[in-house]
Amino acid sequence: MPTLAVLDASLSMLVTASKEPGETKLSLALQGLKKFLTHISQCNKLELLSLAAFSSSFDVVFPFSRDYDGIKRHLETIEPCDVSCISVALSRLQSYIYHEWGHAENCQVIFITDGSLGFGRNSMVAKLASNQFSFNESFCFIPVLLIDPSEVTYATSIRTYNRMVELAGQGAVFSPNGDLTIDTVMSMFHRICEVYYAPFTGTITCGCLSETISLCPPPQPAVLSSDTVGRSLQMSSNLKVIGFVQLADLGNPPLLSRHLIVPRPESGLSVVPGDALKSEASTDEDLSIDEGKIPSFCVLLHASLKVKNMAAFCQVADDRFGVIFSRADNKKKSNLMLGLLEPDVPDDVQMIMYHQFNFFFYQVTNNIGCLSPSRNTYGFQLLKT
Amino acid sequence: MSKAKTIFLLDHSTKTALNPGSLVDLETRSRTGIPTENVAKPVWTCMLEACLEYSRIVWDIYPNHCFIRYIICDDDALEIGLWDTASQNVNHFMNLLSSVRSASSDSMIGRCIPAALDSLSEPTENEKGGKIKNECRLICIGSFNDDKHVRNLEVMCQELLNQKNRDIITSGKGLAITCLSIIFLNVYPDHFQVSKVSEMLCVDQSLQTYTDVYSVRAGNLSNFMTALVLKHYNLTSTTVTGIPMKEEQNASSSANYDVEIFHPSAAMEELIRGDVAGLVYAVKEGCEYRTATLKWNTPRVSINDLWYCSSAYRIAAVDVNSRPSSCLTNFLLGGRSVMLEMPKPGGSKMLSHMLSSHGGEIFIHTLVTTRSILEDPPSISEGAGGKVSDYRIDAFAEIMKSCRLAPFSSVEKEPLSKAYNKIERYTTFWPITSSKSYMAACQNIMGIFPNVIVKENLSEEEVNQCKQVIYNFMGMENRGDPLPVSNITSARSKKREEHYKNLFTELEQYLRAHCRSKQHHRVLDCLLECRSLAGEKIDEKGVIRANTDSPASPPLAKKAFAVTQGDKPISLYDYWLKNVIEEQSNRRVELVGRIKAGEGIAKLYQNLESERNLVSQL
Repeated sequence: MPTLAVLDASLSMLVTASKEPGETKLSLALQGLKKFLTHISQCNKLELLSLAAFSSSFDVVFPFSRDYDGIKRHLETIEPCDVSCISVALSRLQSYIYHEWGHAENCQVIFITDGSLGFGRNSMVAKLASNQFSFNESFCFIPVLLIDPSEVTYATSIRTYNRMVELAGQGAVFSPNGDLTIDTVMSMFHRICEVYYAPFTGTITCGCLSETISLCPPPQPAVLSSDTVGRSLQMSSNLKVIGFVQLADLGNPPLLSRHLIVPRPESGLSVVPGDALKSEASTDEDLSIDEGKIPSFCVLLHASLKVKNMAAFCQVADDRFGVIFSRADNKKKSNLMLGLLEPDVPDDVQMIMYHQFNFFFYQVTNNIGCLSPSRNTYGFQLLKT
Repeated sequence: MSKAKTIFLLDHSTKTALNPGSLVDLETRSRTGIPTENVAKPVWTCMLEACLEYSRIVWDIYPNHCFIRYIICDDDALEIGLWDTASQNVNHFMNLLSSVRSASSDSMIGRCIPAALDSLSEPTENEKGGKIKNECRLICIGSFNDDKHVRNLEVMCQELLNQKNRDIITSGKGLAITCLSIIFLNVYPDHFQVSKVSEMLCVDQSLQTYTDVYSVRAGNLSNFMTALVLKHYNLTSTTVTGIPMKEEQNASSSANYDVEIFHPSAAMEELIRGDVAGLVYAVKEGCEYRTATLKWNTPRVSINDLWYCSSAYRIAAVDVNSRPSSCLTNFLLGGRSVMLEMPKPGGSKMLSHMLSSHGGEIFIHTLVTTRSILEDPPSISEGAGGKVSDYRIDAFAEIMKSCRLAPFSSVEKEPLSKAYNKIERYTTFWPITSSKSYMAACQNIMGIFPNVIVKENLSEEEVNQCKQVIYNFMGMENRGDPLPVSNITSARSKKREEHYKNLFTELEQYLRAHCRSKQHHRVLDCLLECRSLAGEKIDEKGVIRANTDSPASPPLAKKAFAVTQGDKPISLYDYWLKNVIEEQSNRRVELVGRIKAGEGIAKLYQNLESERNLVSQL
């Protein structure tokens, strides 16, 4: 999911942290953000990040990109301006996200501030009390409060931001566990990474062949919005390939989400069981073997699917299935993608979208005959030759 | 919200059946030049046509979810259709409608309401088992006298509904109707100046009924019902413009046509979540609804691309019999896909939807057009395993072809586990690169060996074919033929004997992994036997010796074949003779004399001695 890091650049951020005399709240925020960026560049390499700063105005410092080093450099350029206008910042950031992403992608907004809520009628407290404030867009709101428990406004800030997270519908408030020090700030950002930026690692299994993989973006639990049941369906960490279909037969099914499959073989040994001469792999050369030269099952699968214009069907949970296919972004770069199919909800008559894949398949050999569409379901029926 | 069950109460009275509804446009030529009398369709015909069109649209778009029944309100009160999928089609209804006789009485709608409520409390084939909200619609169409008539019918409906629900609760049979939407549609002939029934809408919260009253001219009834079906089932109209079609008369030129289709509104709403500022809506001429305009995009779509679609819904063509509609339908049913584009503000265009046919039905797919976080990803060849160049792509493609999927048939039990089992068999002991596998390197010589071994069971012939492959390799080894292992880097430094040794080790591991039946064991045993023989030979001599036997012959038996009779060994001649004699003796009955004589020579004329003795005594 794209992430927007919004930093409070008001004068109140220049207050020195009481327990950490050498640091201001702003400098603590910058250090935390750098740690965050380092984590992203190591674990979520395809994450798109943007940086913005607000005080009485809202300015985009760095547009959405994967240039994490560039973002780190621009962090240094943020200068404190004047007062913090939270409502202005929130409304401007919403239009920015909408302009960039529309309604399709759910953005995550990391809103780093010192908890100051403004004064008088324009304060967030007043606005929330009089119901003058609401969110227009849907996004995951993650306020990060650099606030010491000894401060007077501590309780009010936490309460107000919790209320705002409720209004947003998604997200959570983060604050340091204990006094505001460099360690608590770092551990706070660490917690944010664990909750919202944990990479998905799993395995892809095709019979006896398997490989560890990671999915980008990490799949979110599917929430079914039927009128009788609101279930949240998790995915297992194993993609089990059931069989293969021609792309022409697949017919562009509606996908819940798409994820890039990134192969991550364990370093050193080949991970393919049944490799007859495994013992021949020299363990002395483990550390210096280039990752690119270790055979990867995903690369083989991708090449075969692309050459034969086929897709692989896989089971991702008890009643959830997906399609693995090769996708070319432009003519030169192609990748292995996982498309998650809508979970089957047989009881829900409101779900009138087609779930053409009756999830129980059996396999055929290619000498029975060709497949052709049948009238019964969107699906196919064997023609016996 | 779309209601699963709808019943049409069609008033077949003298008023509707005999009154002229709307005039039919006829071009008549009479010799005298006097225009002939105009022919008018009765109100009843207008009603039926409109209802069937309404039903057709519902059946096209929601074939297994929304059910419709008709009740023809006359003396016989004919019920048409059932709450199952088999009866929900235009042909079935038209066949049953042909049995409707001529009308002979006044409006009988009131008397048919109980039958309608009884039907609505029956579950459809989807609703059987399980508690669901039974929300239904009752559409009463006829020529009503006045507002009071309508109001009486409405009150009757509400009272009967109440009573019906109470009966269901006490008896426990049937589904209580939780919400009923009642629609009174008053149809009056075209020549009437003013309708006698006024339109209104009322909601009765306590009884959970919603009543709508409409009054429509017969000539306008079709258009009105179309607008009604859009509202009831949350459908949207889309016009596909700019479809190039060739004229029959002028085959060289093509003109652009428009085809209007209906589909669930959700197909557009998905798009609205993205960026739909440029979507153009126009009010259709003569109709009360708006239609969105999407332009046909010349299909250069390859069937081998997987487009990112967020949803797919069925469509219904509005004007089914028009030439452009049927042309587009046939084009789609032929397997081609059509992309639809939407103009964006700023002049550019965006592909927003796709029409394609699956299983004989036509669907509209909504494409995801918004920016994705997966834009510009690194190529897979830049990541792990990307620099390896000898993946066994063709061999894996063969596995993919063998493991293709097809729909479940009711005969199959646990098809998923069967599918997993098959793919596991095919990938047991399967090296993914050819640079480390001797078996992969020698695949031409291996022939069908790998294809056969992955099967569950082997036939006798297949076992022999596998054994033949093993013997071939043995023969090659004995002759000293080189193996085609140039791809294997580790093989370059090794001697030919080591190549064969590695090959046979790999074969053994492969066969052990696949030992799932007796026949597989036989093949493995054959390999082990060959290797043990070959192993002894090599140990004895130290060098491989050319064998004078043909390579195809089985290996020499170790022990000499010896035959004994008792303890003494006999010669081949004696043995053969013995066999021949035994065989011959089985063919005829033994002479009695021989049997009596036993082993030695049979003595002849035994009685002669005794007779001589007798004579000498006399």
